[in-house]
Amino acid sequence: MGHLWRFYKGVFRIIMARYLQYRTETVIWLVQLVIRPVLFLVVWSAAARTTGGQLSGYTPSDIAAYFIIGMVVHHLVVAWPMLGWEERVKMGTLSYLLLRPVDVIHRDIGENITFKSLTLVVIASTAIALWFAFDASLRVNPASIALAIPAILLGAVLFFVVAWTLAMAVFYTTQIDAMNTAFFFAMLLFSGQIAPLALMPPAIQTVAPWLPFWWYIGFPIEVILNHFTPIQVLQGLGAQLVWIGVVGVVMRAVYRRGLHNYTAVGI
Amino acid sequence: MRYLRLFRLFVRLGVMGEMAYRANFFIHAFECLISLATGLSVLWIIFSRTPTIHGWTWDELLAVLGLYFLGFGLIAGVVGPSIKQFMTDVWDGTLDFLLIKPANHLFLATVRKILIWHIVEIALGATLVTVSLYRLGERIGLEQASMFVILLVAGGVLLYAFWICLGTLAFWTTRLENVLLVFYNMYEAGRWPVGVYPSWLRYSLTFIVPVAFAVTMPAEAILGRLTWPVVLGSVALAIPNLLFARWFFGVGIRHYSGASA
Repeated sequence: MGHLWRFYKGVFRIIMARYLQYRTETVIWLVQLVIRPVLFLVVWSAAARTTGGQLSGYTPSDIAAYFIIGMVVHHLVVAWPMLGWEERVKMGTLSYLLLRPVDVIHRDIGENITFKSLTLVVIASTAIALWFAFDASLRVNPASIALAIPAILLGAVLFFVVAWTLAMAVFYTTQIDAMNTAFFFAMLLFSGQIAPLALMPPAIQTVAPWLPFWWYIGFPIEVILNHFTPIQVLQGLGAQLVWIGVVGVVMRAVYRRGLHNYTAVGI
Repeated sequence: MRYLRLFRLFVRLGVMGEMAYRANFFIHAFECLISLATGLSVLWIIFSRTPTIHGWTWDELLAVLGLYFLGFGLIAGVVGPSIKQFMTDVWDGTLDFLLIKPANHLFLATVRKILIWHIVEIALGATLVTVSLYRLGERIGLEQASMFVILLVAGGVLLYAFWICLGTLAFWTTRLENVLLVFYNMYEAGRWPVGVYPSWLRYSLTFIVPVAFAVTMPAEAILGRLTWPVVLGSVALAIPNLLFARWFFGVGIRHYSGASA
């Protein structure tokens, strides 16, 4: 365990140095992260005002709270291991990583944690600014905030295993862009990024709980918003764990098979 | 005429470049279809809860979405990649090759590199606009149609001028490629009529990044929501902007020292 801890500390230092070197990239990334929730927030608020001030109990202030918290949750949960993997396999740099005594996944996990903790300050201050700009409101309940912590953590783990599993396709094809696009499209529809589940058409409301997407974005947001009883939250955390278990097993299997399939040129 | 021929040549070069990677074309076409599906599903989801958004109906927003795609296809397919190439040339010193060609430099710099698969977006955008106009049919008179065309051209000119200025900045600074990405992200906001945004965002989308002129205003024109003073006003804004961009580009070129000189 000790050597793994040292490894993580090393990754943290390397990645931090890299991000501090390219500070403008952070601005780009911030604009990308902010623009979509702001658009949905604005449009749904406009819709709520047209229909008499609220939609299924959501006032414009509630909608603002949902999307601003959603932006932070999205930031904490979503990662892009697919991009890194494409380069690793195409360029063969994976070979060096495989030679190391620590599994590749630890590097990805470390990189992720570093990036998120570094940018959390930026994203939190942006969220606070938006909170006032759009007059969001939230009835804070300490219990729901406390329960949100495991919900977000499990959400992040669930997204990570899902994304890693998808990234393994790079061992079989060099064109993974189309697959990523399709994945993020499905995710947009079912994850609660477009709207809280209560505002979605009935068809999506029925399907979403049976897919993994909503469990790592919509569920943590609504836990923070105090929409569930403690029992419901525990059931939800259970659902997240089941998904992590199922996808985790698949991930291990495709990772092993993928590595067998991997051939590096020039070694 | 000569420039039309040159443009056709660039298109042909784009097609030839793409033919070498045919699978690539289909993947990008697929991505365009997904982004259309995204736009339509979002509209469908929101309109399942409300009859109008800020006074816009489903059919009207279809026109906005269509114009958004049309504009995006033209920028990401022609002007964007050309300007990006232009910036790289300035930094590498390979702009010399462009400058010795016997044609207008501004023209070469802004249309010479064409990513052909964006034709899918342009086609989808045009289809959406057509469908929307067909469904709104009886409401559209000759006056609105002419306002629409005028605003479309004026909005296009403003965006074009904006991109020329962005590209020209490459003569003085190297930290710009990211600015192009920021533009593409800001352009996302064009999916919705700018009227729905709070005023600070609306003004930046109108006067800093001219998305409102290119997308929202032509849509408003065809729906008969604009008056002639506004239409003429945007023309009055577009012409000096283009002249300024041209002048600024010239200043930049004179500032360029070249790789071998």
